Amino acid sequence: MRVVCLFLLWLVALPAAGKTCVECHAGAAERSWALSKHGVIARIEAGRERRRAPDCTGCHSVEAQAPTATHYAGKRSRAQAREAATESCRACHSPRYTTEQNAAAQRGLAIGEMKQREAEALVATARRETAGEELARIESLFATLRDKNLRELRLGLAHQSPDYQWWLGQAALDGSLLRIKGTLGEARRNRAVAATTGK
Amino acid sequence: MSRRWLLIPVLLSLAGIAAGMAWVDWSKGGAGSGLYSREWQPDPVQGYWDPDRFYQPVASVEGVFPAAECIACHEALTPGIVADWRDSRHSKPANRAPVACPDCHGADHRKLRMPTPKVCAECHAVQHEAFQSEKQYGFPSHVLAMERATDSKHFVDKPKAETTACVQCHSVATKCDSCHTRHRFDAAEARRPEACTTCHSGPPHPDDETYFGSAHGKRYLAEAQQTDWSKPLRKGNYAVPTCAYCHMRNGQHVVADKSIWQFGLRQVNPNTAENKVKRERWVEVCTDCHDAGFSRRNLTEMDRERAQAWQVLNRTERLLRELRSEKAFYPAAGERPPYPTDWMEAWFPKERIGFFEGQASSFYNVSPIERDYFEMWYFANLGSYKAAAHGAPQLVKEGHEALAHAEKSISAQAGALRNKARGPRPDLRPLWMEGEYTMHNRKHN
Repeated sequence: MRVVCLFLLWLVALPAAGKTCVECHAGAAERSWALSKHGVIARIEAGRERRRAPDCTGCHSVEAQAPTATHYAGKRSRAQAREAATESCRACHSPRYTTEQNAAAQRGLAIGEMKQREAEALVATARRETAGEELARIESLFATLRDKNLRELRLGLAHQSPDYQWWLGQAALDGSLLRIKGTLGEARRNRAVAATTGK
Repeated sequence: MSRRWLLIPVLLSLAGIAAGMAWVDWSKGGAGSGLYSREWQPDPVQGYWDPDRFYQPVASVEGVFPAAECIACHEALTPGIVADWRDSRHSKPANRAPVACPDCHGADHRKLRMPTPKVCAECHAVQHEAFQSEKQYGFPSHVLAMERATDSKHFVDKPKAETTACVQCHSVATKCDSCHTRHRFDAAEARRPEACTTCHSGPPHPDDETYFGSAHGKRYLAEAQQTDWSKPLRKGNYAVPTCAYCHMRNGQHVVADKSIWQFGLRQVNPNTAENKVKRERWVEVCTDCHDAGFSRRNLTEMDRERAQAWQVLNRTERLLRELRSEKAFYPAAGERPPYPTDWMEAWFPKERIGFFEGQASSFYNVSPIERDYFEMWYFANLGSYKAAAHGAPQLVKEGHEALAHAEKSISAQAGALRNKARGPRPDLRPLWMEGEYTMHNRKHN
């Protein structure tokens, strides 16, 4: 019976055992970590006995060090997940340092969310004023701003990657925002042109 | 008599120079740092990135501690950094007492300091002197990186919660642990190319992708784990070059001596007397492994790539200048927020086109066609340049495809702007001047 149980357990564990986080979280999630100082150290020193810098499980799995039990983060609120992850920072960093860095990240994210809200208001205006191709373009620019630029900013702040914070985060948000404004402005002018030519 | 009149312009110029110097001195005396220090307040976290200027010690623990006591407490509080230090050469140097916590941080807990390059220089004088010597080359260099950031108008203008991202990399000028991470401070770590990629990555400087995409980088990836990185960066010690091997000849802490200033950002003549000297220094590096003729041919290939890129960029820049003189930009410079630091722009609004007009700041509060040119110049162009310099032909090809695609798209937009330039022009100022972030940015930086 015990053998059968163990065999069943092995069967259940099999798909998870060979998996790494990156197989599902490739792209921005992995790269924003890999480019951070933590990621650099962890990559250079892969295989060494003592880990100097955290990889995914180092922060996202405080209670359970087993890689298969990491998925609690998504089921918690962001604040709870952040607090849990901050626990592991304190092995190396002072409480003041982690508090300051977290607060700075929150301020950075608040700026990003401000840009998102400015864009959201423009989308609402566009839905009232325009239709067709121009509206579709504005909607698609907003989707990029929210689902790509803001996400990459958040990853950059959480993983401490300057590139994701700036060029792929804040500066990319600026780009999407100004393109929404540009498209909305062009739509207004096109309507003015149409009105004068009587189309 | 006539000689006395000559004195007037001389004295006026001298007074002007003195007034200018006094103004620069005054402008650096504010709460921030750099030329615009009076225009901005540092974010609280800035102390960690520029400790010499902004770090404030914490008053929560009182007492003066010897190393053994620091270690006893921090072994329990922050065991990771104590273990790092134990693994470092600082904890067990040959022929001298260990370099321990108080040597770098001070012993009085209420007056602790975050170590700056000056602190490291107490022992590592040769490296520090070489690092400081980069100042003679100007930008780009590691030693002037923080000034480069804080003296930029967009750094001053934008909220500091946003520009914290900038100083994380530009702090390479103000701390040594950008490359030798604390508390191990391992030279072997900084010899690996990954150590540079936290900052040397991303759209304007994909040094990581272009290096790892080159023959050098591919061989590095294959052999890195079997290589002994403790050896000095000298000819014969390494089978494959890394960032530091080529850019920091013989491990010298100078990256700026061979770089041609703004080679990617401006159309630079590689054949001036000075640039020829720099080119020969590069060839000397390559000849550690390659034949000199082969190296020169590859560098000439890069010059050809630059010339091609600038043909496309110059054409596009000319087109944008024409649009500006035709007043076809929509919105034009006066219809969108200016930099608060730029009083000239408030009176004489003008779109920034090209390197000498501040192209590097033209990524926000500009019309879409201007942002497209910014991305073409700063991302596609610099990506192509890095690919050519690092020997990644596939990425050169992709970069030039991106340049061609951008030129086509900008030309099409320019055509549309021209067609509509004489027609009705609804007022765009409310759209561009208002909005939550835009108004927040106008009041806060």
